[in-house]
Amino acid sequence: MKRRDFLKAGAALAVAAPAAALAADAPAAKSKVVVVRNGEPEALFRKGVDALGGITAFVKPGQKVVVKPNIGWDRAPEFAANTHPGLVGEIVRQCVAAGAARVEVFDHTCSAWSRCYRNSGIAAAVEAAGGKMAEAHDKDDYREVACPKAVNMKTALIHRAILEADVFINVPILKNHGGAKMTACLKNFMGLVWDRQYMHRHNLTQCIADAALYRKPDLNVLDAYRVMQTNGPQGVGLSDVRTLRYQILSTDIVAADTLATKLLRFPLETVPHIHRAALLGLGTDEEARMEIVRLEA
Amino acid sequence: MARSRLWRTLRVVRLLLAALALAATTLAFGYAADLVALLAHWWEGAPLPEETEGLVVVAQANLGPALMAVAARLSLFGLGAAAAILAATAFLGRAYCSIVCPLGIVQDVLGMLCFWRGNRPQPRLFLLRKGLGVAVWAAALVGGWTIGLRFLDPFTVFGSIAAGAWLPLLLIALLTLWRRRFFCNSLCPVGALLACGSAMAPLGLRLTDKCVKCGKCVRVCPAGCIDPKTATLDNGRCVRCLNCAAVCPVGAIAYGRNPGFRVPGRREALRAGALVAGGAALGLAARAVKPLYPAYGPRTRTAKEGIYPPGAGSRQRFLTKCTDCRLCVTHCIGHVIRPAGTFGAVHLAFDEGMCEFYCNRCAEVCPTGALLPLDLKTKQRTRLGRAEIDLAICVAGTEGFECGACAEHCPTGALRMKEDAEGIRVPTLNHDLCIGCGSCEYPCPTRPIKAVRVWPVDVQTLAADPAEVFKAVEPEPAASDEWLI
Repeated sequence: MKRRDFLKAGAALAVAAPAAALAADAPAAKSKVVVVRNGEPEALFRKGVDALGGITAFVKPGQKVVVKPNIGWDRAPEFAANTHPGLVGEIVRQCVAAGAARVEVFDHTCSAWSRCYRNSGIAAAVEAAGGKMAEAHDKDDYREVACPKAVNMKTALIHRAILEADVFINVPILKNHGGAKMTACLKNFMGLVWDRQYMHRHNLTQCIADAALYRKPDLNVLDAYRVMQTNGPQGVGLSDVRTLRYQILSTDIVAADTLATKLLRFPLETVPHIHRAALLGLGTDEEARMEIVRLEA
Repeated sequence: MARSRLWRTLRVVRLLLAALALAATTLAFGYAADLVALLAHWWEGAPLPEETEGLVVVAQANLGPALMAVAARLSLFGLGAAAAILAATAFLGRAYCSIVCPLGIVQDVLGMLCFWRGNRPQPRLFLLRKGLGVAVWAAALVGGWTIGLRFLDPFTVFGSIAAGAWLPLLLIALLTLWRRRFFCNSLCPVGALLACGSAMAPLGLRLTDKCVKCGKCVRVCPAGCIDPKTATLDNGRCVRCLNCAAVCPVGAIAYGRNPGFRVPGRREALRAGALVAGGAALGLAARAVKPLYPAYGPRTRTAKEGIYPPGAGSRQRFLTKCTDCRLCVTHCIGHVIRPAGTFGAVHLAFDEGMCEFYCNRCAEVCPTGALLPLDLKTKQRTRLGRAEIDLAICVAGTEGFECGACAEHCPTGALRMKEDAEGIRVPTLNHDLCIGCGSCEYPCPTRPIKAVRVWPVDVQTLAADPAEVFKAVEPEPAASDEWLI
């Protein structure tokens, strides 16, 4: 090869490589978001996941599945502090039916874990559906992972179930949140991380966006059946809760959270971790780049 | 008659019952749930640790705590348990000490360590035994000075061992190696009480004239209550281990009329009355000695103590009722209840957890009545302390980041994030709602000092009802077909 050709080729490569990377980053198609309403959580999920190609589009026989609901608080289901147990049970049941080798469910809880697992009704629902509750209150269950792309949280201890799983289904509940303003799909990632105090100390909104870089969910199912409008994330009483009977399903975590702000009637810019996540390339926070499918269950 | 088969069988039954009781009492210190969880782990797919909470009754039925509970809160359960145990003394003697009392059984187990040598007769130490016993009881129950029981009540000493303290175990082991059940017969206030009943009970054990003075029974008697020279058995000290009857080669140990049976005379009654009065005075005097209970000002948490579990009532009350048996410590689901220091009381610390809002386990398990049983609703409003925020070190104040860890954990809505003049959301506190549960202090990320801390209160009062403060913010909107998204 002549020196000129070599330089030419080099120059071409230098231009092409970032362009290719950019092209890969920018979603070729619009992000599909399914919004289902007016049904029980189980029915909403059945309708919604069918619109995304059915559970078999996500779970193949023999795969290890992890379902990550929000089980953060020692509260009964009607207080809407934790994901609806019926929804978690239905997802586990469908995964098992699709031939999953193992379905694990866990959360790094805020209140005492055994009480959260039990009183949320989720442990019973998961066991009945053929899944397994994994413990997450012990540091030994977490593995150190590095993520250079993250802005503030470049290493973190992440729960082993997430790292071992072939399929990760993110099943948060939508709530108002004292610290992060809103909790939904992105904020749910704090339950995968061991050291939450690190996140609180190093700019919480950025760390929430960073946490979502550690493992892309294969499917996000946002439970907005009962929605805690005030005093979140725990709620003080039933007066904080409104029954909206909605559910949002998407593979795009940022798009799901962007639309969720409308259910709480929060302007998007008041929930800064959503835009920070979009800047990290985790999804789109522009409605123009979403394909929204609205369904009645 | 040769060795008695009946006595040997009864002794084996005693051993089995004792083993069962020791296991149950140990498990009652919260280990039952751990055991169930472990078993569930082995048999994959078994459900979460189920309720093992009823087992705590075994602990509450101990004579020491039962009497305390009667005095502290007129516990009917305690009354029943104490009455049953004392009534049984009339015909079973101190069988309680061998079959129920966990520390007594621990001493029997430790006694096996010196299998190579036999036991020796022990001095009667009549005045020490009964005097100390009565004085300690009077000081604790009348004088309200529970420190005496803290170091001498066998259930409390066992509790500290069960909760992982090694010093009491070492001391008991040394005493046991020296003179077997010396503790039971000379120091234990419960033993002293039962000894009075057993010594004067209508029925008891005695050596018959079949005795050939071979001394075999003396060597196996842990209580040292058989005098080989006079061939007599002291029913007051006998713990009914039945070792002697099982080993006697001629069947000279007989159960029947107690030679010591008599109605106490006036002299004895007066002496007992004097001891009770003296003990009560001692208790009252001890409470007046300030250094034993240093005052913690509301803002000077110099000592680690000062915040007490829900149901303690007030600092003053709690310090005169709690014996530091640590049943609540091992049951605390938030791991916030810490054992007492030498002269302090069981207290709360929020470095590893928070007082869980939906848990009132400590007040349920407390066997001595130091914690009054609270229904969950009342417990959720009982103010254990007062939180205070130091914005000078708060993340929101120093870094300008929104953190909110305290606000998200606050279960009553007392602590909320509100925008300050610069538009940064900082924690603000509604003191009326604060119950001092530590839900804010525990997750606060600032180090080395937390920006939100809970300070002691002298009396536990009722905080405002969140349900009254937070009325429905907005009415449920009328059903509309319009899409929100």
